[in-house]
Amino acid sequence: MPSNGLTILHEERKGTNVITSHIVYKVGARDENRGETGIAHMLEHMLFKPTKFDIKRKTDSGSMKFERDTGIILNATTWKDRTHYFFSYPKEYFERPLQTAAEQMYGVVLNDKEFQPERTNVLSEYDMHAGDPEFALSVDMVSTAFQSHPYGHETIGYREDIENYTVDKLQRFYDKYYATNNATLIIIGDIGERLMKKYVEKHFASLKPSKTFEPRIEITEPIQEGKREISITRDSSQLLLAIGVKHDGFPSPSWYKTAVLFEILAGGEDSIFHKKLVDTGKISSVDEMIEPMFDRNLGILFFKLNKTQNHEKTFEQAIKLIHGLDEKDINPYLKKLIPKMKRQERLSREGSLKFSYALVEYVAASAWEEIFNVETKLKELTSKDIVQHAKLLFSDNNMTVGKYHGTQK
Amino acid sequence: MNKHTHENIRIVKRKGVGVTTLMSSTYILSPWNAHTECVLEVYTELLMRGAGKYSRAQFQDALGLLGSAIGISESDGRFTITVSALDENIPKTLSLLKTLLRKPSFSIKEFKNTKQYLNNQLDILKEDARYLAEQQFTKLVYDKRDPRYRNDITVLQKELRNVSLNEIKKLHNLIMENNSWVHTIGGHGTAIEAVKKFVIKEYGKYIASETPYISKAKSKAIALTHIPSKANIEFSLGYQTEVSFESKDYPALLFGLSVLGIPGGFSGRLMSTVREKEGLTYSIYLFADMIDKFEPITIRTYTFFAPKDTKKGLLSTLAQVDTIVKKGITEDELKRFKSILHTRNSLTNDALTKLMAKVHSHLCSNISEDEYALFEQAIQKLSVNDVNDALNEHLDSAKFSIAGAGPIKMVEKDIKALQ
Repeated sequence: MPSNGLTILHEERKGTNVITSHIVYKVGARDENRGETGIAHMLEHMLFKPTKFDIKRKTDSGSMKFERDTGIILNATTWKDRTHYFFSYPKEYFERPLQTAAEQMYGVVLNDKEFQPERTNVLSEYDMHAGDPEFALSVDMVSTAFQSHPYGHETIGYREDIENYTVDKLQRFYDKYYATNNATLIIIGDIGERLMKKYVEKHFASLKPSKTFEPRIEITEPIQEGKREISITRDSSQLLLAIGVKHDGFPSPSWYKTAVLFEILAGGEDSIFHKKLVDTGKISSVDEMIEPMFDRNLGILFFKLNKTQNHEKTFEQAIKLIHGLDEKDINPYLKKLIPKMKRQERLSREGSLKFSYALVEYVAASAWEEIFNVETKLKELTSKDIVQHAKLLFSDNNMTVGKYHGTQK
Repeated sequence: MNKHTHENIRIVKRKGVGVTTLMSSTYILSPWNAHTECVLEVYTELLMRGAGKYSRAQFQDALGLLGSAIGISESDGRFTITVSALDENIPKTLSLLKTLLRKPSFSIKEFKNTKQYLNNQLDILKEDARYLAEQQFTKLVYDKRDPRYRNDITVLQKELRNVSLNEIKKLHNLIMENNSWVHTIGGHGTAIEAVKKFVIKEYGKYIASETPYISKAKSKAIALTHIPSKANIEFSLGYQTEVSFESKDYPALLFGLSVLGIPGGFSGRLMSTVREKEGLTYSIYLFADMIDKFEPITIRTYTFFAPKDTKKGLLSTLAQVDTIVKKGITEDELKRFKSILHTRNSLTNDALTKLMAKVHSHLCSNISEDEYALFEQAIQKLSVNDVNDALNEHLDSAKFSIAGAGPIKMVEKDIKALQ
């Protein structure tokens, strides 16, 4: 939208009677300062509170009222690079989510009456994650892996910071980042271009861009010298090993190399670690986590150990397997990858909610067109690339290792 | 025993997806106990580990090269095989499925590995608070013979050792010989026709099955599991009612339960009070669990609280139940929830996979398409009095059993005082 910088993406899907619309703001955990970690996520919660428009109309929060009146699907998520809000609804409601999204963008009222109970909900959400060994490890691992880059804390933030937020802090964050010139509107579903434009213009064209919004500065993480390690000890029966590696940002060709390598190593029962370590009873399970973040980030492999294993031995076995990979090991996986991705792609595009949800990460990386190039990028990968990449990623100067020790016998 | 009385194949057509999916389910109706639970678990895991001329890895490779997936799962005694393939690869995928069904390897090596693998998975579940709260809840609500009754992890680990390969082979023969499979096929064009033909040929002529075992209602009880490493306490609360899909009060009771705690979103009273107004939890929903239309539904509230908020949270939850029973729903709620339930149903049209999941769930529960249409009509015709009468008759907070898992010790007394 030339008048205010709002980006609009639209795809018509005739005959489903369903539309999904998202609004994506390029603001997330990476935009937070020390002492206010998790504030982007806290603000996400506050956008569902009554806006000044709702107060004037003497109604409940517009978004919540919409959901409570009609049963549409509504939710929001925050991640390191972005925050997004979405509605999925029968097409007869098309105008209402647009009006709600526009009012949320400029009319949120932040006060203690609404904020205090919501903060306790966020603390409840934090505790839900904190009891999880993988989450506990990843919190400590990213803070060790990143010394300068703001990817060094998890999106939900630290409990101590959540307890110290103020309404003023939230307001500054909101004023800076929630504006048309930092937002993308995605509309996928049973709505034609003419009608879509008519209602989008009605609700967004008069909105002014933010004057305080500034593009992000580039941050380069200092060079790592040697393997980094953290450990957590809890009154627990579980033993976990986590191996984290820094990898290039999404959606670079190198990101896809890492994603494919992680899939080959730990992506399900067919993966190398599953066959060599889980099936042989050496460990209980293996899992992988690679996030589609714009800058270099930490991808993590999680190994749940059984009582006969220890962290050091599992680490040695895993690294030996990775460094011992050759092209013969990788070839069969690459052959299977394309048809597998093809099926997953087709399935991921068949519903408006699923497809638009996937598109959000590409929008966050300022590269929405790339969603249509995934197959081409994967076809370009060779076994040689993957073998070399594995050795590079899993070198001492790129690794952060986490150990979770349960003290129960 | 009641029997299924309708067709066993449903087709969900959707153009332009390019992927065809087949979901096939059957109930395992053998007497349910810890041993049969383990036999079924081992079988579910072992079936995919090699078939015909293929080793486990070769079978996975053959499927992988087609981009196809076969998933095998078990839940509450319901055994399900899900096949998903690119339309162009349906014939080859069905050929692999046939090999899996007709010539599973069940090798000794894979059998041993499977038992080891499952034992390790059970170890992991020992600290899964949500799993433990739900597992303990099934023990409070269902009889031991009910396939929804989940045995304790230590009991399962002991029984796992006693499972023999012969039992697995016998179970496979039993499953393949039984003719009560139900199937949902999703996709478009010639691919779904090929799948339908395959299903008729390979799964045999359909014979109506009996309904699964139905538990007798149990009295209120509390079960708590202490897990010191967790920050929140997970809860499952509720009881088995006397109302089934077939009961005249079912639409009205389901409607009232939706007003109280409809799963997903923020519309239910539990979410708007216990979460939003009181800030005691991040999530609180109420489910009306059913595995067959002749079976009474089980009311199950799922939530979690920090230890310091647990007493207040549980009291608030039960108070909401009392309030809706005593004061009923309002005209405004009647109007809103008619719209909400209608919209929820419409939104399943967004994606083939969502639509298939709904259709298959009805098929497994023995609900015909006509019966479901009538149920939807009945929902739209309800009055406030219908709903309030049903709530008054069938909902009672005094019957709620409570299962909790997490850092229980500091609030154990408070929770037990609720009995």
